[in-house]
Amino acid sequence: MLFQSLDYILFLVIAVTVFWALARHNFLRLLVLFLMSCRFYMVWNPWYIFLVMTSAGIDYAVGRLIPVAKTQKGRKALLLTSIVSNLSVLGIFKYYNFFLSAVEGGLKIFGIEIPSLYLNLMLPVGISFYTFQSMCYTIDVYQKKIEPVRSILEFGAFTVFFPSLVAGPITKAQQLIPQLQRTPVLTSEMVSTGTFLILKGLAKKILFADFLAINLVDRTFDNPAAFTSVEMLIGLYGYTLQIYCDFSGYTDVARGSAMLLGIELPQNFNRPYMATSPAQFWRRWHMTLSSWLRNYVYFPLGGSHGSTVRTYWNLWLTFFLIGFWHGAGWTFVIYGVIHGTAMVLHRFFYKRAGRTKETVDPKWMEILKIIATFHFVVLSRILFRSPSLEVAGDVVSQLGAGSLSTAQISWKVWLVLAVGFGIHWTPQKWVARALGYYKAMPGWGQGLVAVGVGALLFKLGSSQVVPYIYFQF
Amino acid sequence: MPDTAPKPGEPGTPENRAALRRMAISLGVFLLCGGLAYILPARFDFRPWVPGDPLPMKRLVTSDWSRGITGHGDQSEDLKGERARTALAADFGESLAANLGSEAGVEQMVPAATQAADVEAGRVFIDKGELDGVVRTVEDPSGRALDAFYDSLYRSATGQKVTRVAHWGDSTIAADDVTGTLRRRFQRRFGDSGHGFMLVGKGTMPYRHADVRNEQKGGWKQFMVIRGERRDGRYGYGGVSFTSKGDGSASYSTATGNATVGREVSSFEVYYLKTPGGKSFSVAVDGARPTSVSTASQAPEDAFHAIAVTAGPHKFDLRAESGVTLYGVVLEKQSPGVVYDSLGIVGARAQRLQNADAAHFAAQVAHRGPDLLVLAFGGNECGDVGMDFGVYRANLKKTVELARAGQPGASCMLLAPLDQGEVDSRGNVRTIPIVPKIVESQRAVAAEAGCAFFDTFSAMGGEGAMGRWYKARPRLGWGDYRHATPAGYEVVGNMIYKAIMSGFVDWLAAKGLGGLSAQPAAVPATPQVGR
Repeated sequence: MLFQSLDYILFLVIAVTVFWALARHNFLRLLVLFLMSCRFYMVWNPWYIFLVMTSAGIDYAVGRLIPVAKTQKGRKALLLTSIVSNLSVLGIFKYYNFFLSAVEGGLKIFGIEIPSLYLNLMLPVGISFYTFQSMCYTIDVYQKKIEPVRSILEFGAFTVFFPSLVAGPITKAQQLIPQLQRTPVLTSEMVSTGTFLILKGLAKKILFADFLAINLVDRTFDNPAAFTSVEMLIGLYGYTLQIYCDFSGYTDVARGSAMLLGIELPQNFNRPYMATSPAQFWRRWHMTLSSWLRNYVYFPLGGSHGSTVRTYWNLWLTFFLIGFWHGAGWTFVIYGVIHGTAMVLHRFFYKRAGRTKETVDPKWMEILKIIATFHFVVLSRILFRSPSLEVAGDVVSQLGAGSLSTAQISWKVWLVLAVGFGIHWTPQKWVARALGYYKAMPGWGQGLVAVGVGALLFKLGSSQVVPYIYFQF
Repeated sequence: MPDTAPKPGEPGTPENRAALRRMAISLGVFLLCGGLAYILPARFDFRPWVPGDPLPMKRLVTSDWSRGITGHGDQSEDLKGERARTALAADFGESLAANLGSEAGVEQMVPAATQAADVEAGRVFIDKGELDGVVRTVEDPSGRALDAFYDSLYRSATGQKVTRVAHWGDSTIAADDVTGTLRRRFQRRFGDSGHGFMLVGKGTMPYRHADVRNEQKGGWKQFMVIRGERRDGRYGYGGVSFTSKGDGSASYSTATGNATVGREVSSFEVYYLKTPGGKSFSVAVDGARPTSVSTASQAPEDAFHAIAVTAGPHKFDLRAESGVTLYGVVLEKQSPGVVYDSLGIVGARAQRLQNADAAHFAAQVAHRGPDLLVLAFGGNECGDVGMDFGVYRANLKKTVELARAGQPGASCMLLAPLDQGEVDSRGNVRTIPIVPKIVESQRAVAAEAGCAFFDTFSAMGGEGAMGRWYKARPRLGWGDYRHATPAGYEVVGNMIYKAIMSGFVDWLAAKGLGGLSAQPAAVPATPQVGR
């Protein structure tokens, strides 16, 4: 069930109504939230709810057992059980076939054939999100950052909380569980912010992401040879805007929906294309994943406290894993390598130049850095979007062909690109001001705004429902 | 003592009541306005659900447990091979799915062995498997429209000649996806007689050729028949002539890598224009010393410069001095088989071929000597509002005659345009009403002119097909609902090939020269999508 569907809007209305009707009854409220979240997930494939439940069941049990384990060894073994089980689920469903094909290809070089043991399994929607979210709970319990959850219902509601279940934001247990446990809170300001986020997210998805996917990006990547170098570059700009509007649009709807249930989910984006370096980009893009990997991979590896070489290795590995987290394929491996290497190089030159957080660049230098970082992101995403290395090669070779025509880019595409990037690069306070105006409206005024936006999206949106890009991860 | 007073916003507090009231009012206004769309006929367009559509929330109250957890499952564009075919078969049926991929799920042919058997017996048998997934056959009210072509194919199969096909068209052809598929299929079955004709430059993007490498460098001025840019009407066989600005060069190389055809060539032939005071162009094979060719003559005239080489992989370079006009280069291999010329121009309409000088164009076609003339237009005409179909038919017939003038003995075939969709007020993709009318007009012209006709529109699935092709995984239609993806074009190419082969089998049987082989398929090939 996609957020931009009528089904979801009706589902949300029912969920919010029942939730607040039962708000005073902790058990019933959580039970309804849990059941509705399960139902939400089962729309994709009912069987996979058992996978989510199994994963959650193991983590719940491990969470309960860690504090009562008598030895440190026992605690470690329990944590390992949780990590291995979560990573096994991820490994089997997402990475197994890729690794097998890599091994098969490697052995073939030496003339060794192995039997074909590929698994024909559908990838469960949102598997990378909920396994990471669930896994961080046991790690936090192990590190004594949080108390284990006693109620299995509370833990179940945390694991399958529908707004963030399929594509995040990846919410830490210490952020979400206390909000589920306490008596929920809802104010007029939260209602206004929540509905504003939902409308903003839907507009991003339908007006920008879906339009660009259908009218520009899919076409250029379907057949790179059919486009000139400049058209290909515009296609890449288009993809950069598409993926931002798609994912941040999803996050806005998720955060808005959660807010109507009195739950605050973390921010996931902060104008990523205004970043002045790769490091800053990852502090602004998919912030909850970057933060997860920083907390649960980079720091445990030693972070920047070891030798210089070790620090660079930790940094590289963390960002390589960010790339590989997105998908099992060579394109994502190389994407991870590029970003890991960029982070290492950035740190190296940053340190060499003796820069600190307090160093301020002149405005023109900052603009140059934004342009350079933006183009680094745009070009690296060739690998992110290409279904294979072959297609990525075609895109690169087309970019280098030197052909200049833009005849195949329609004025509508130009307009959407200009407006999309225009909004992204306008001062953030303008959005805050728009939200302020919206909040100041009476309820009926906000209803009329919703009607206007809904009608606009209904008329201008594509008839084709385009799935969210990050659902596949 | 713990503070038990409720926090602002908790249930029962004024803040919470105000919030719920605000939410209820907003929702009420939203639902009320939504309801108006069901009451006011003028606002029916805004109904989010209309009777007849699946009930909202239906998916939330029913679960499809039959899906299981196996299968492709994802929405990836990268569906390949058997997974792609299985996915497509689930949505469109086995017949259409059998046309997916460059090998389209039929057995690998072994041209040399098959041909040897054909030559020995003087009879040609087409394997049953090769016709798997015939979606639609070629229409031929006369029953003889493709006789000349089938006869030539028969002689190619029995090692007697090269069969040439000229395929003009619009953007659906320009990227060589449909024609590339047809070329591969014919050449794998009957033998590879070379890649065929290519322009000197890129024409209007997209212009490309599969299984060959060509590059254009330096300055060229292009003149396109569809724009009527030359007073003398000399656009050449491919409809686009190129005049060097002084440093124009181009190169053509045989295919490498995994290509199954186009790997060898035994002759290069340059089509060019001679003019009074014309300068020279030079040609070189495999980096050898260039040979200069003068384009000077008493009066403007078309000319041809051929270079024979030993059959094998080669690279051909040409460089033209300022003012020299070239039409294109032909790559051929002098061995029995098929050579398929892809002659697509983006934005082309059938009528615009008439911008060419008729005698010049006829001479170009005559020199090339195709056995089958294919005209695939109509896609751009689908945008013509208020079209006079009488005029359209007359113009199309004139274009058919123009193409046939140079090779009166050749067969001819018209291909209907692909389906083209538009989004209706309900958000559904439906066929633009003009498409079936254009198809009907083309069918009528083909019958009148004694040409064969293939109804691509119906083969795709008829009404609303492009919308369904867009939704297919792997995607077959583009989001503009006007064009197909490379995978979709391959499906179209395979459907046309199988339709032609089906007619060829009937022709062989009728002539007592062979027919359908009862032999089981040979080694199954792995279907592939895209390149």
